[in-house]
Amino acid sequence: MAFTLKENKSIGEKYYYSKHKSGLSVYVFPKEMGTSYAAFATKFGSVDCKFKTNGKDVTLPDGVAHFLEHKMFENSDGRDTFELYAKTGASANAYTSNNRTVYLFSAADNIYESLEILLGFVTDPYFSKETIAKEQGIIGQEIRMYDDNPDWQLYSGMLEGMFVNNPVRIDIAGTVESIAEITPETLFDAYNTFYNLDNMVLVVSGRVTPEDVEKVCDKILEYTPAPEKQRIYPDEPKKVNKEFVTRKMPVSMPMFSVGIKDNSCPMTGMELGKKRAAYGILMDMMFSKSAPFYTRLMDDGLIDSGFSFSYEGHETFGYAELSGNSDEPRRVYEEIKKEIEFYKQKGLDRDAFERIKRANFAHLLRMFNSTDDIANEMVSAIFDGLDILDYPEICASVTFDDVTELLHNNFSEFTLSEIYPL
Amino acid sequence: MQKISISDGINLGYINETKFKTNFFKVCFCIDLEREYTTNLSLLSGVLMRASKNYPGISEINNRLDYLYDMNVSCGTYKRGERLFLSYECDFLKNEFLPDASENLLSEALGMFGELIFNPYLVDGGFDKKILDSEKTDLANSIKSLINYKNAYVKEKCIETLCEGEKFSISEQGSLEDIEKIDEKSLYDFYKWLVNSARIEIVFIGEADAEKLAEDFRKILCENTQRAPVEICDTFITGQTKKEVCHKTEKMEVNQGKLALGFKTGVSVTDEDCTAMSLFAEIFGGSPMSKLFMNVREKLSLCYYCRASLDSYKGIMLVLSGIQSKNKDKSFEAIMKELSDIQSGIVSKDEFEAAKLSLINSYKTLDDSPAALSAWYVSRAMCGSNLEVHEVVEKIQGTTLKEVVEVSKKVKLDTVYFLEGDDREEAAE
Repeated sequence: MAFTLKENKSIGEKYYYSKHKSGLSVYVFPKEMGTSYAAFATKFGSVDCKFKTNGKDVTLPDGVAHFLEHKMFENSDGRDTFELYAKTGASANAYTSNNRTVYLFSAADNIYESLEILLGFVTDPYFSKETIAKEQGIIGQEIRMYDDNPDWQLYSGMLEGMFVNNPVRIDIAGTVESIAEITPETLFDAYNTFYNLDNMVLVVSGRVTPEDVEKVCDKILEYTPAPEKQRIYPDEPKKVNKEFVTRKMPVSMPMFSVGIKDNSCPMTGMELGKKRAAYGILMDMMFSKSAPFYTRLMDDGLIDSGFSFSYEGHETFGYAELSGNSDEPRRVYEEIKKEIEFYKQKGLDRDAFERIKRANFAHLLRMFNSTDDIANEMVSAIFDGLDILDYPEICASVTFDDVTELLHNNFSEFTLSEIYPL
Repeated sequence: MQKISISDGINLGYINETKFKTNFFKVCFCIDLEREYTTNLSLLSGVLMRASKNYPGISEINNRLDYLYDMNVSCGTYKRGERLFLSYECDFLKNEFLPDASENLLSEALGMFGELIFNPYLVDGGFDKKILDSEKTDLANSIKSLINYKNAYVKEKCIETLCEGEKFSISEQGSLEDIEKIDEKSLYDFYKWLVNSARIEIVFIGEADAEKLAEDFRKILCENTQRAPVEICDTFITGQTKKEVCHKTEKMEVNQGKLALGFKTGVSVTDEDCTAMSLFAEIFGGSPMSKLFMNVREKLSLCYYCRASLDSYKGIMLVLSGIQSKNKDKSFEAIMKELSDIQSGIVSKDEFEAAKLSLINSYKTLDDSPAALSAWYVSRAMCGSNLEVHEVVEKIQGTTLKEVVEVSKKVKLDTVYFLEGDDREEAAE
């Protein structure tokens, strides 16, 4: 297969791309780092729970994408995938998010041997009733672990408050009850629909060459025709589901998470990339440590150094989140809304815009310090129709008017998730 | 690593590294672990980052850091064995990536370090009371919030009992009672004592002129202080195991029980068989290839995680697992069975080789993280060791299974701490 070189000379980064004959998109980032990193991913996450495949309507129980991720580590010869990696020394793992499932390893040596294992086990499904029952016990404990984690409860409360129908509101791992419904057939339905190589990508970063990666692909991967598939997402109203979601847990003091709904979805490609960059700049302008808001609330004792914020935006959903500890979550919530209203009325600060833009550009470059960040960010970018080598230019293209427009169009639907001590 | 002695009790380790977009440095103020120091040090690490003479508030400092292309500056405290550290860390873009070639971020970064640490914002010969009060609240919140994270909580509780009567049982964060005793003047006195007396270890990872860098640090660190470094503890105390295993159970309204097993290994980082001990912990519960993962999780399906973590600077090992409360005894026995298997030599060649490869892999990838690598060098310097990472790898390669089995017999259970929850009806067993 012929590789295409893509280079961003201004930041000194490049990769090689090719569509392998098996249908897989392959990206190779040569980097002189100690750690090489491979991510083999499918565009199948917790939100993909309703779809049509080869004419059949399928509705999955909550938590299937994540359950499937766990089960892929079992092989038809009875060996656990970790036993295979034991021979190479790689550090292997996997994760499932709202919109993707990623299998990965990092390693200093034996990279191609580990790559064979990675491509091999993900393309070799094996599910039996017995091993599914065993996994229900393990994942049951994973769910219980999250039940006791206040950060996770706060976050899931925020999503529950924000979304009415969008499946992003459902916990990625599902519930003990929903995963009890899973059978081998459920897993094969999901696997056959979403684990076709046409729906997957491989990103390898580190001490690798495109030619050697190709050799491993040639050895392990086979073409199978892609099934017809259609993802079904429900319509999502612009309003939030509930303004307040309140929970009680054994915690030391109240905690808050304020969600702001992004009502411009669905969106992909450069348009999404630019929106994300604008969100990053705008949120920093209003809420970072250099903004007046942070100092004022710290001085008033309304927040502590645990305060943080972010924007998460993908093809089918997006939201901004601000979270932290406070004796008075409702007052913080009002202060956040007041701050946004203030900027809508008085306008944003141009100096702050220039300063933050400069900082965000530098922040983007840090990603290239790590083969882990490169591979994971690239996978995420590809599934949203983006490319990490374009990020610096996308950031540079954001104007003051862009962030002002974003503020006026997309900062009006709020939800507050709060946790109080027992 | 190039080692340069800057002054009495101040050393710089310079590592030339071209692979990153950023330069990194860590300046570590090292003192003995004493209860009276911990709270002072925690408050100080917060107060110094809140204001300086030229940047009298959080927004002024962070405005400047934004302008300097998102320069990252952080200050925190931690302990290694019976030593306590205040660590200032900074990373910033290399000049070649700046749009304006005339800017020099290295000198800005050093200037910022000098400003934040040696030019504090003072009121009447002490720190600002308002800022200190805010940091006191912040620290108190943080100390109290340990209960929010059940895994960290049982770990801390288990160590308290495991190292009862030893300095190591002191929390590095400090204590609520001590917060009240500290005021803006006493903290400033502590600050002056710290900068004059602490041993200072600096690690720089990136590209710079090492000699000039050493001179710049010398100016900042010596011209602003009257250095009189104190001796700090140079031995590693592994401590004795209790006569009988101590079992403690605490009830809480949680969905998942948390089991913590505390062991004394009797082997510390300066001992010959320390490498064999690391390999033991790796085989036991260090990775998904380990005995605990393969058996307690995969075969018995008792938990999602069951890990062993070794602290070689203290000579202790903790096993942590999240389980259904009713499975406590079963889980405890399953964990102890894996330990006794290793102690009786039941370790396959595959398990041994896998542990070696996995441990070597983690050392070989250490230099991709400047923060982790620099912390490792500072800890090694405290042991008086000049060992480089590749030499550790050679030691691991040269260790035999027999040595691992032998050293495993030194591992003794001391404490079992259990956080017991109410099991809900489980749909799946």
